[in-house]
Amino acid sequence: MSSARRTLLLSVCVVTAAMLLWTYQQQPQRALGNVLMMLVILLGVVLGACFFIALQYLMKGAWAVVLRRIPEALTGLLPAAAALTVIVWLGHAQLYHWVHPHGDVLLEGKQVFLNMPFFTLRLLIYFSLWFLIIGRIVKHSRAQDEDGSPTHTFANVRWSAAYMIVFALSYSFASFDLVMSLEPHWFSTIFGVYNFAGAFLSALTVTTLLVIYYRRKDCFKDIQPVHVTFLAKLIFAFCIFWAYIWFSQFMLIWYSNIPEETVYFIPRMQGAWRPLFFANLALNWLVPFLGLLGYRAKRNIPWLVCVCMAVLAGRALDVYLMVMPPLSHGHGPQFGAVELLSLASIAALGLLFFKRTLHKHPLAPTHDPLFQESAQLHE
Amino acid sequence: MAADIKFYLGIFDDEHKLLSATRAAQQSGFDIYDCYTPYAVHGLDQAMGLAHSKLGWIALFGGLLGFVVALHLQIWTSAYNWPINVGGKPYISLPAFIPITFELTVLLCGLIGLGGMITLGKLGPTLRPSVIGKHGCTSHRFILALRSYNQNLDLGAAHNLLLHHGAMECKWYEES
Repeated sequence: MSSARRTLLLSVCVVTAAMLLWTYQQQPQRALGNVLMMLVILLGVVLGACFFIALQYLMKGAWAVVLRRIPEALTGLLPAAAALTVIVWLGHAQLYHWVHPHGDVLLEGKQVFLNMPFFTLRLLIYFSLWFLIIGRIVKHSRAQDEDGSPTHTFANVRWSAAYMIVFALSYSFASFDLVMSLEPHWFSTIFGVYNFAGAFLSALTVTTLLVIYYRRKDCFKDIQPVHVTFLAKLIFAFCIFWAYIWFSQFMLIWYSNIPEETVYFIPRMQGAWRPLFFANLALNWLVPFLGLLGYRAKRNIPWLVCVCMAVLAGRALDVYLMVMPPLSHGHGPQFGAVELLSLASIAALGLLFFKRTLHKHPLAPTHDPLFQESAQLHE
Repeated sequence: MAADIKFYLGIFDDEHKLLSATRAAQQSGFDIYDCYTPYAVHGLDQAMGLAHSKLGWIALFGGLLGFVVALHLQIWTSAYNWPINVGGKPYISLPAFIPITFELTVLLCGLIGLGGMITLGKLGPTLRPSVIGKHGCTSHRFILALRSYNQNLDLGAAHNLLLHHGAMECKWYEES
């Protein structure tokens, strides 16, 4: 990366940090909410990218081998997510009102789970597991470049199986801890799956955009248009999955209409939040569903880029709607310079870490046993 | 008088030879009747110059039909024909209708898509196998069938093309 570009990306991050600090003086919850948003979006991309890699290993999916270094480099963003988690942890007193349960019978009852020592311990467990397993998968993949031994593939199949189990539990609980506990009176058992659906969708779109970008460069000459088409098909499939899970959560609550459950949706469906609530459905489901339904749409690169952008905006809006309403205390949605800068700095921070990881190693895993099959992919 | 239709078969032992022969035959303007292979050969559709399948449109029609039928059925039964008050919700409560609408969309899309595939591919119990099952094309041979309509096939050129691309054997085939 040219140093001018690196300076630009770094300065975006620095300006955002300054802006967040300044906002923190006046509206601490808004500033911390923004950090939490950045964390949830970034973590979703990182863990979703590793989910993609693990899926290919477990299913012996050959097609994605030529582009695997891109999701692998996306997992290099995990330290950034860990740093943001530290900031969120430091701001726990302002973010999570279960920290002060006194006088609230429900929260006092939930203290068994929602208490600071256990919360801290859980965060430590999640991140150690993620660092361990993702580190092993990436390490084996890279070691294969050196010695070309297929044993690394077998080892990664086992680590991928471990990742799937660990990820399913840890991501679900991390979503409960970091996001759902912003409204500690409310609970939804599907919340982790819902967050996963959006996270994997965003990981797929980011991967697709990066593949489209790098395909034009020589270093990824084995990536063909058909690989992009396959990614487009996955985006299409998972936008339906997202809508399915979104609706599964919504419909049960809407149907039974019990106050302790509807408390989540009522503020989000009223006042100035209402248009955002429906825009969320449109960006995450309607646009990619109708946009990628056709045969040619999945093969038209400029169009695909537009749909990916819409889905990424949808993910940001989705996370905004998860995090911000409980922190704005009955106000309408606030979207100003600090939100815009936070979103921009996710991209900046992501690109900085991504580039750093990507160029450390050969860009094509040519010693993977399935590499040839992947390079000769055909529809 | 019935038209005189015969097939000139090129029999190959390798899918790559079949692919290159098919591509060449398509470019030289031969009337490619069909290819017979033991398994689906990637890229054969393009090599044969087949047009893009219309199956997607048929499936879309099926999906839309299921969507409309399901919504119409539910709205008509629960709001017009016999209005029932469920939990104080409006008679037309779209969220309650979505699961059935989704299921019927998927069901009719799938069934009509399946029917469309069978129809377009001329499959089904009435199918009379022609070359299929003969000359080993269900186990280890790859066959390119060129059609001769009222003896319009340039036999010399076809024979040379097939041999040039590695055919093991060339022979006439007539449907009885």
